Amino acid sequence: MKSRLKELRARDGLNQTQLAKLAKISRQTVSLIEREEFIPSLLIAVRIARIFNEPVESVFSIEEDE
Amino acid sequence: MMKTWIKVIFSAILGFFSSILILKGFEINFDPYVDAFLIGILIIIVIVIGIIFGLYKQLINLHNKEVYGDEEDEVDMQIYKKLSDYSLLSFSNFILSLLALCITLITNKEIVIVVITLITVAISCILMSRLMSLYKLTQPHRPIITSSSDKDYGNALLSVADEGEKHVMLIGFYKSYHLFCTALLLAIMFATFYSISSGNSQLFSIIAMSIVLVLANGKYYLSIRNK
Repeated sequence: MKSRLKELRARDGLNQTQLAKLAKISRQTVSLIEREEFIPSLLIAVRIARIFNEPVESVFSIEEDE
Repeated sequence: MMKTWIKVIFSAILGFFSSILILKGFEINFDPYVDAFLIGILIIIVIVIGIIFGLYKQLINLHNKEVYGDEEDEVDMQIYKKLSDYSLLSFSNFILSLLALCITLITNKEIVIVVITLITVAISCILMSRLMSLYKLTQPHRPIITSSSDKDYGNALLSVADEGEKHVMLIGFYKSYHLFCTALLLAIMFATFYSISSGNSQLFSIIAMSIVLVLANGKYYLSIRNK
């Protein structure tokens, strides 16, 4: 699963630690999602999308072969 | 790279001792080597305690550092790695101290040596207990884990971890579970071979290791079966 987390963080001037605090998750989890090593649950995906004021499908996208 | 070197060193040590045992037909009397072995362990314990104090100081310095932006992430990553190193070293030191204490008790060493090893066990326990306060200090925004003496510590640890942390823990636990089972099976085989070759019965340790293996596997399979 692809995510625009890094791009959106840069747009809003947030580092991983700040995003983690806002989303009430650990910085490790933010890092894992950005490195595409972990697929977040719907709850976390929605929480992150709300922080960036974006729809979930705009932040996270599933590749064709998935 | 580091992983490969650890594997090479571990295999070399294992190969060295195995070949000596085979060459001597498993008839090695460990008693003459006990003192040297004990001194070696105590030296390692002192060195590791020094490293742990160093890590403690580094963690406090990193926590007090005022950083912003990407540097904040970098410092958080360093804190996370150093906390993991602290945890690994303090636990390893506790096991080494326990091993030293067992050796002194089994071989009837002087009371001074027993007291020294008891002190190393106590220091290791104190260093392990400091881990939780270090975690609270360096990660204040994260949920607080209940005391490690808590009866339900395992569940408490899982409940404060978020999805990503659980994912990382699961991979780690699964790998260590497989290593644990394989290592115990090898130890049982090795103890059996040693008992037969040397005539020095290791039956008690073989039974103890088998019970541990059955309990660990039983707990795992019952946990996944009842879900």
